[in-house]
Amino acid sequence: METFLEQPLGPKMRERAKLDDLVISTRIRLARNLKDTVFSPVLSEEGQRYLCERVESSLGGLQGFKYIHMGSYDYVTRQALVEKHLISPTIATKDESAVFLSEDETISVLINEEDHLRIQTLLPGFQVIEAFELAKRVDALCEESLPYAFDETLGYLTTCPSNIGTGLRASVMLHLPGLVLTGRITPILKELRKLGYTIRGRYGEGSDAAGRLFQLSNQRTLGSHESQLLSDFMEITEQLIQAERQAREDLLKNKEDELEDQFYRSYGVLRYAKLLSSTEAIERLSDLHLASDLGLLSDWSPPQFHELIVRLQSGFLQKHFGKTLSTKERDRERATLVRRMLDHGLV
Amino acid sequence: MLCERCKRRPAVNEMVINENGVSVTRKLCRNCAFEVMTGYVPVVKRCPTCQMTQHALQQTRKAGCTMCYTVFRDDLLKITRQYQQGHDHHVGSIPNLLRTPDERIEERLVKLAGELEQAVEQEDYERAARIKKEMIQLKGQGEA
Repeated sequence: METFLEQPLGPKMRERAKLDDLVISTRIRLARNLKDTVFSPVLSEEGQRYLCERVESSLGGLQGFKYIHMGSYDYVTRQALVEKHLISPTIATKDESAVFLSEDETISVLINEEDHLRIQTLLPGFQVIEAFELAKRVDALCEESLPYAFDETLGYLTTCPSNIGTGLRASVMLHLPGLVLTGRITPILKELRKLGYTIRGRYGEGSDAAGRLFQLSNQRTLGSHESQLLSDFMEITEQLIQAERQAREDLLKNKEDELEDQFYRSYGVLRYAKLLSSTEAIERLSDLHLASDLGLLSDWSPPQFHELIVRLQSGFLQKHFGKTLSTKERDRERATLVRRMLDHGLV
Repeated sequence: MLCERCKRRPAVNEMVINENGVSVTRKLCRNCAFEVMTGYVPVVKRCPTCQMTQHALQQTRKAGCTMCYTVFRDDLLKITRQYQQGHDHHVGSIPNLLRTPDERIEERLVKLAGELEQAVEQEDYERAARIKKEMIQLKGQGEA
């Protein structure tokens, strides 16, 4: 378990990937249930425990995977896993839930989420097809020993009909400072929602778009083949990327002085602040990331940005210091950590 | 104020009713007051497998088990259409176990065709030849 918490990013996530200056990561999720077990809203704690054991014995033989039972770990540890996007916030609150995690941290099979199984793959940059192929392979393995709930008309049955059919949700985490700074993001968000896509802050439902990081995902999971859902999703993402590039170009043309001023201010805050909230830290780092994309800053790479935003989250921070910290202590340690990083010539 | 019995409709009457052998005063709506007075017991539609009631399903908009999709088909289809932009038919992949051998061959062929194209693009003709050979074999099986 500790190996998963040593680094903010898994080995794969530290690699450079396609379009990773804008697309931080790609995630694919497949929702699956077992036909012989009642679904999560009515599954007792004993039933949940039994399901964990059953899946553990069915998939136990998988090479290169670790089985992690949530009940065995404290809340801070679980939170750090959420911050790395290896588990979902839902599963972190349930003692009788578990995850099969691949050693390279690209595959998580979550047990006892809203659905019995959530197969999730996470890759850096824009790699929708690659992440889907990976998820399908794990799906095929699970299917060999676990009887899926499937209906000829409705497809894979899920607890909530919002996931029914393919059970497929594709999502990308995007860094869109250009669209935010030009104010173009609001009509775009509205339009995307109209087209049936969900776009929200980094940590999903209810979270705001700290650091101009947005998570875009498909809403509809039924009525089209997986390949169609994915190609539509990729097309929308590419359009969004195009709009972001255009916005950056316009910013550079019309507001170069203001932009540069903002970068130096952010650098100053990161370099000298004594207290840093996670929201402020991410906002400021987002500025540095944009500066690097626009060629105003060297020695900075997209995985570095991604690594920092995970490292500075409260769960990961507390894990790093090995103790629970109050909000103020966290803000102080966060500021110290950032200062030290800048001292060591990270930037 | 909402009816203390069904918790859905506005309460209009205060009545003394029997709850598990104890007499209590409750504010009730017209429907519940009628049901209590006449001794009418409403039929609760319930899933035989997970005991989920129709009312609970409509409130939470979530299914309790596979059987719920049979017992409450109409309710779940309605909810599905609302979530899925009017769609109510799955056209995506299906579990391996339910696939006919022909379908499996067809799927493998589509995948191999993609790989073949990639191999040719990369000028890896050795790999392309291997893929081509497998495709011919598969096509033979499909026809047999």
